[in-house]
Amino acid sequence: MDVELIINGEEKTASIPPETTLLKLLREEFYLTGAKTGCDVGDCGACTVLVDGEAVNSCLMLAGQLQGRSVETIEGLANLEDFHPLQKNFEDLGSLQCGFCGPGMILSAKQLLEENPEPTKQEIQDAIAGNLCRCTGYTKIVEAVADAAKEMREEP
Amino acid sequence: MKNGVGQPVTRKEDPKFLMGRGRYVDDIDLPDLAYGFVLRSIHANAKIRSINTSEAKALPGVIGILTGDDYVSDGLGVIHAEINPNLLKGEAIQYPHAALVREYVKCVGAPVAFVVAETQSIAKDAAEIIEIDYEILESATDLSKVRSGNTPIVWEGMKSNVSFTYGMGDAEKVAAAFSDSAHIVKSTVVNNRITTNAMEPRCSIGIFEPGEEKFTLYSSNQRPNNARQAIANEIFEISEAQLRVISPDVGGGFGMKGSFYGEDVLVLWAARKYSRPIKWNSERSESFVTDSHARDVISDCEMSFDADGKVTGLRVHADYNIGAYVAPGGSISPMWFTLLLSGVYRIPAVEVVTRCHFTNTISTAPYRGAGRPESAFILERLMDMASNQLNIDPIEIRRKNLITSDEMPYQTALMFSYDSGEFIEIMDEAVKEANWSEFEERKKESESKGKLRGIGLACYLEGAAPFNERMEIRFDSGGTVTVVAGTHSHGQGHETIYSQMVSDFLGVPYESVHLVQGDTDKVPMGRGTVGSRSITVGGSALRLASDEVIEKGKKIAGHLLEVSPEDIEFNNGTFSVAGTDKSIDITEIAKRSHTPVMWPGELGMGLEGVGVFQSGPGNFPNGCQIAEVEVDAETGKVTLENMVIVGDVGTVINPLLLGGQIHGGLTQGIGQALFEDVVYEKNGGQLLSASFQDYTMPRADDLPFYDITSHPVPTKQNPLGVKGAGETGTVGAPPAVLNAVINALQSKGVTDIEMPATPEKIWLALRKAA
Amino acid sequence: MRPFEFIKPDSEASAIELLGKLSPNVRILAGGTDYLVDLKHTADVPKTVMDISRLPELKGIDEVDDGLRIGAGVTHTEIMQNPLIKKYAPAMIHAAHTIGAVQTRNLGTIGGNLVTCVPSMDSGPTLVALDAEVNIVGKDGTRRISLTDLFVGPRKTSLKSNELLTEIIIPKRSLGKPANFYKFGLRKGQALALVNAASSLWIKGGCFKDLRISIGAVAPVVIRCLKAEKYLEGKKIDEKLVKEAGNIAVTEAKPIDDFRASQSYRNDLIAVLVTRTINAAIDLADKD
Repeated sequence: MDVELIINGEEKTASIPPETTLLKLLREEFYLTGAKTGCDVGDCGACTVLVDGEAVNSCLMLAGQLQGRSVETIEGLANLEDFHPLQKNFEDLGSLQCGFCGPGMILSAKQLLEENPEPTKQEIQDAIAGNLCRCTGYTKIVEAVADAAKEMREEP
Repeated sequence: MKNGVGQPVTRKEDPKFLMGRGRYVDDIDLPDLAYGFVLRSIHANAKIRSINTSEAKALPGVIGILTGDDYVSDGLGVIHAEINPNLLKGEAIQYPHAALVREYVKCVGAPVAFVVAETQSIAKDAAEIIEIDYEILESATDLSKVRSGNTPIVWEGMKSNVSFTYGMGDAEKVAAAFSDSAHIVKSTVVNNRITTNAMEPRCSIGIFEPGEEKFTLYSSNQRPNNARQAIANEIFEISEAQLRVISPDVGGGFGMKGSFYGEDVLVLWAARKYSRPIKWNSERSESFVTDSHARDVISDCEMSFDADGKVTGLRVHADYNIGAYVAPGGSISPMWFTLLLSGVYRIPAVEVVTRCHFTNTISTAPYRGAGRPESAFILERLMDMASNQLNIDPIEIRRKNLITSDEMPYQTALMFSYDSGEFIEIMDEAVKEANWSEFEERKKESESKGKLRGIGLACYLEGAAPFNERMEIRFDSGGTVTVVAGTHSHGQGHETIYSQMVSDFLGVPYESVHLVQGDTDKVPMGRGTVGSRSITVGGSALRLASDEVIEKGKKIAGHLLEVSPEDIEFNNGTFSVAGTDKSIDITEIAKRSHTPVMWPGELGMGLEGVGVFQSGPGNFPNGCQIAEVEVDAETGKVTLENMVIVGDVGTVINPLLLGGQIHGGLTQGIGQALFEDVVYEKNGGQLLSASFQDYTMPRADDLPFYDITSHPVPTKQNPLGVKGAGETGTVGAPPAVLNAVINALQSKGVTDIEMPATPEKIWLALRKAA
Repeated sequence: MRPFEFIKPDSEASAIELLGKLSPNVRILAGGTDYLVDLKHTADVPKTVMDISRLPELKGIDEVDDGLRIGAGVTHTEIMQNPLIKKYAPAMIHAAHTIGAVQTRNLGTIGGNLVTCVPSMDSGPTLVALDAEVNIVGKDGTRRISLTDLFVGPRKTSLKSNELLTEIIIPKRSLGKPANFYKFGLRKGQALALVNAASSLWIKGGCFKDLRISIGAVAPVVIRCLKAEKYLEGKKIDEKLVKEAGNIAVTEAKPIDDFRASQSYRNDLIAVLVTRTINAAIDLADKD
């Protein structure tokens, strides 16, 4: 089947079997490998991307469901010259270690900050509770999200 | 100096990860790539009567199916472990295992057939129609039963399930201490089975170039050179030059990826057989079943005290569950466990016997801490039990027994001699940081809400930095620097740390330093990253490599400045002639060292240095952790309210990255203490905790922020003063948290609880005590 | 995943028609947070998967004549953010919040949660405690049943294979009714309930009125604790009685005994949770 969708602001088309998940579509058709296969059953959040602005586990959507919709992946978030405040603060605090959970973590946080510019610590923890990380213990990630929120409030 | 040693430098590694450009094995796609799927045993113990692959082989898209018979007929070697002969008591029995089993399966998940197909889903479909006729045998999975000899024998022909026994210490001295003692604390201490769950599942790609007869293996592995050595020599019996192992970005290892696995062999073998590159990617459910598990040790412990509350002796008779086979790293945790049972304490007599048992479970192997958490857990639980039984405050009983800083170097009754440490000062600092003196008020406040509250501490030490290591520094003709590292960073941030060091040692810009690692064609030798060793051993080797660069640089500078090398001084990137203003920059030296003609032969070609550091007895990172918990007595639910750690990892190279290591280690320790448990079905041997739903690793909303303080006591064991930092969080957290939980329940009569302290266990303990 | 056909009707009417035509060889995909996991692991793949997740008729939360209508395709996130839910049934917000994590709540739908009918569903108890009903549409028209009549067994509902659950109705009498939901899992985020419970009640003259108690994960389906309700109904508010109601609720459940939790522990949790939800609902109630 053919699917037309918008990925990181660009219109894309793919011809794929109906059983293709959004995660496979991104990784195997468009070589956007920032979304990771951590469990493939929606438990770990490593495959998190934004669909119409909302964080979803891309392993739990069929590509066909994306017809006409807009997907944002980590690759679309920024480039080297112009980091998103989340990326910048993750870097400043050394919030990532192995990096595997990072793209999903950042995209979950992005949805939060777009809806809630001044989240509490608890709200941040809740927003990333769907993203497992084995390296960091989450502390520096939560701190970086809080710092990014502050920065975005000050310099919208 | 900007970006120098000791500064909170941000990570060089981060930009690519933050942009989603990390490149892990599964992100690698190759032309003509085929996919492998491992058909695994669904039984814990069974005889394979027959395997029929004919229908599966006929499925369109199937390239081939390999079985244990093919493995044998192709003459491939087996996977085995090193057993430490210095600790071994009696005979060691291993059952080296092939990458595909035949005749018997000895655990759920044992690899029975390897299906190679055009797509992963075809391979899976084909695997489903392979017919295997099993004769199911009784299995032994539960260590508590196995240690009592109350289970079937895993390997036919053996008299017991004991594979090997490690022992240390002086049994007679301990017996004498016990007979003279005023009090003996006795307990059977259980350290439950857990699993690593690196976020990146294991993944391997095998490539074979027929003309060159050369294999390439991409593998999510912490020690690529070790994998090459073992796979080339023991499995394929080829020269090491015929195998290139590449470990690109690795999504967490924690020791679990410290050795190669059978699947690495399968993808290489199939690549040669079918002349296609082959990828195998572990599904998460498969990770649960086949990644090596860890801990799983039950110990009968006795600790004797004199009338003053001083420890006089310790006897530990432990039983480890090592699984169906001894994994390549399977003897490492029992070794560290055995060697470290004196911990931070002055114990005149210690005896340790560590029996390692076969069971019908997947092998156990190192996972962050590897034996050190197990020994620290015993000592700290015994200390709290003694505090309770002897009615001495938990801080005071430790103070009586902690080795003091003026006793350093301290020779333990076991093997190690500690060079440095301020255990009492660190404990006092932690007690202050945790505001222990006002605990009673916080407890009253919790009680007013109907909750119980507890506080617990753990003083601990671990052994870090095994093996020697080799590091190389190379300047290119443009003057930039490449560090060729024998270590392997998979989240630790080595490129950042090594750049800080080289920038400091050689006075070159931090930005000009690059890291090469994880590719055996580029890194000739190296031990990889395990056991909190990289910055201590690798960093020290880097110091020595820098010294060699400086020596060579002096010769070149002497030549260029027309003086004897002995008259050249090196300071912060500049070679100068003593007592003159003549000088030359190291970058310029590097450029000139590549001069192709009219260059003295004795100055060689290029500027480079190799350093090898022998870590000797290693070093002993240590610390004190204090946990505070609140317990809902009706449901048994524990909330971790506060977690304090004061730690000594020697000289701190980068506090930002150190913080990350401590946070992660603490979280894994807390995970074991409160949440994580590998559960096998008692009779059938099925793995029950086989998903993230049932193996409940902590998530962001389960944890408090941690209170971390560094108390560095530089070690004299290496030129940097650095001690290992990767594992200390995991060593101290389980006993600190458990002691806090038990402290909360003490007023209700509960004296012990096993990890993980789940709500149900607490509820049950409270009911039994009532 | 094994191959199947994927269709995506653009209206409820066309979905019903296709369902009638293709059943029983068709399965409905709503949020997919549960069904997609099934699809990946089952050999029993339907011929067709029909995506209804974006059907406009299944969206929306509105005040209607007989109460509050919640479209079956409303996601848990939409429930958490909806002002009408906040006004009339705030316990549902708490219940929705305990489902999975943000990613699950953004995709998962309330209708999907009910129809999947796992015993530990977190949408069930609060809706049962609010006497919710559901509208079911088939080719012969619409029928309305009580939510409790939807639940038949684990992963089994009274829906026919050609029917679609389209709406959940919270009756007018339950709007604004003091209610509380409590989930007990082994951790917060992305957790399975060992036990969950919800209670709703009015207080009239210091006495319990129209008390509803519902518990999940401790019987083949989410159930109402009729005996416990009856025990308290009309009685004066009294802590001891509430506690006894918790004990009675235990007798109405049949929790399983597995490695996640023993039967006796689950039983104790039922008593604790029922007690706590009733007490929390009492705290919310006007005490005239």
